[in-house]
Amino acid sequence: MIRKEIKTYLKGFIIWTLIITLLYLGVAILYPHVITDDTMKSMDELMKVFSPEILKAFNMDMASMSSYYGWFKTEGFTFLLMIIGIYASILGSNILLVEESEKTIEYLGTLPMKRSKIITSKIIVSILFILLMILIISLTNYIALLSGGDFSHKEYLLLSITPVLIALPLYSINLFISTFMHKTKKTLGISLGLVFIFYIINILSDMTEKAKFLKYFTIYTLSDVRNVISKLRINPMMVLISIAITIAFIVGTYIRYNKKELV
Amino acid sequence: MIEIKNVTKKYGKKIAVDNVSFTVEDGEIFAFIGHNGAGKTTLIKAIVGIHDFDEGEILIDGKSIKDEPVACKKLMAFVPDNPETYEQMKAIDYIDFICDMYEVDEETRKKNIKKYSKLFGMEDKLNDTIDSYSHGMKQKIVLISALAHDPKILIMDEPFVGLDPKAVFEIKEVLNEMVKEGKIIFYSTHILDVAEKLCSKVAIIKNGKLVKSGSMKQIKGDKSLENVFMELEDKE
Repeated sequence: MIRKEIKTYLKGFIIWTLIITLLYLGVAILYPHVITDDTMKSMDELMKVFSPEILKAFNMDMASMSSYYGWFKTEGFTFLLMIIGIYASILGSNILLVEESEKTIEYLGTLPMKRSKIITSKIIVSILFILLMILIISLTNYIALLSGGDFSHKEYLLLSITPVLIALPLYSINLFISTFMHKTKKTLGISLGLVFIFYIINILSDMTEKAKFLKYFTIYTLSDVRNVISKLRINPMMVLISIAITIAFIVGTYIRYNKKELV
Repeated sequence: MIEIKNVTKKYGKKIAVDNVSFTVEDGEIFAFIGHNGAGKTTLIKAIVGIHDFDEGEILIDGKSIKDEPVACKKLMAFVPDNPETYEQMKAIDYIDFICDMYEVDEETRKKNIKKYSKLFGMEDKLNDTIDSYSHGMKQKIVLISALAHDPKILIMDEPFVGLDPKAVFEIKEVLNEMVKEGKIIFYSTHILDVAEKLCSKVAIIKNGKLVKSGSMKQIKGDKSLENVFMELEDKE
């Protein structure tokens, strides 16, 4: 079952990983040529236009964008969190539901295995692909950074881990939601919508003190980028919350799917 | 042996299968007949363990499909009416996947895949992806994967739809061979003349209720199965 799942989702995984990796490598190669003293000056002028709250919301106050690493820590990393979140969400909303949507469950359900085995195989493969994607992107980025000058290796290592903290809860939440549906038609909208809503809530929570309470309503709080950069440590509480959310929704998925009338 | 005991299946308020009981003994070919929407597929899906049911019991060789689903499913193979397979897979990988699920050893697997793919004229096409196949070819791949693990009970929902005459003939031969070995063939069909010639037992379902069940001779008497079926259909 695991082998079949790997074969089924390998192509999509390779395409996603390749595109993201090439994108970062492209920026890493082009960045030193694009960012000259003149462009930095104009960028600094541009930054003055934005309020400190806006800069804070996008982590643009945390580093200078004069180097590729500076760009990566600010815009590049925000993009990475979004894209990994989208991949994990789409995988979560599709991997179980596609069997029902394409009616292959009619045959799969007659094979001598418990439904739990179907869920377990799919979860193992999904988590493997999510972790592998983060690892490959982080490693290729690391190689690109090595050739581009000085950067904090510890900071980079910690930053590379944080996407896991948002990807796994997003995956499990979408997996759980999919157990309430029968067709994959609407899932793309739901999974993308969820990522964008969480992301926007995260931005809003960073903008003003009044909106700070919103950080309790978004998965993106778990990435905790500002603290990782400023304190050079991952808050263990964020790790625990991430694991707890992931486990809770996976357990919910097992309970729901084992009782679900598969059509 | 398959034992269906007072099985009822509801979809909300609608009763799809209403208190149905019958048994299928080893070495029998059993035809399950009924109009569209009569409840055939619903009951078949309950037997093979896809759908739960509200009341009654289904026993496969004395084991309950509800309590011991994996043990029951190991004895059975199912051929659905629509061959919904993994389209992007190569046929041989699909058959191998099914064989893995039934823990079929290498030797038996090779022997059976060769035997049935040759029989259905699919020997040279096993390395193609399933999405390149016609409906009939997909149906043949599902049949090969069902037969490759040598099931004790073969359950089929409209197995002849979309198949060429040669394939239909070959399937009938395979089914007769299996029955001689004491295996059970349970299938639903609308092709009544094939059922009449092939089957030793028959059950007719109408609006979820079993209206006739017994040996083929007993049910049809001097009439054809088609006549018996039409008379039952006309009765309100």
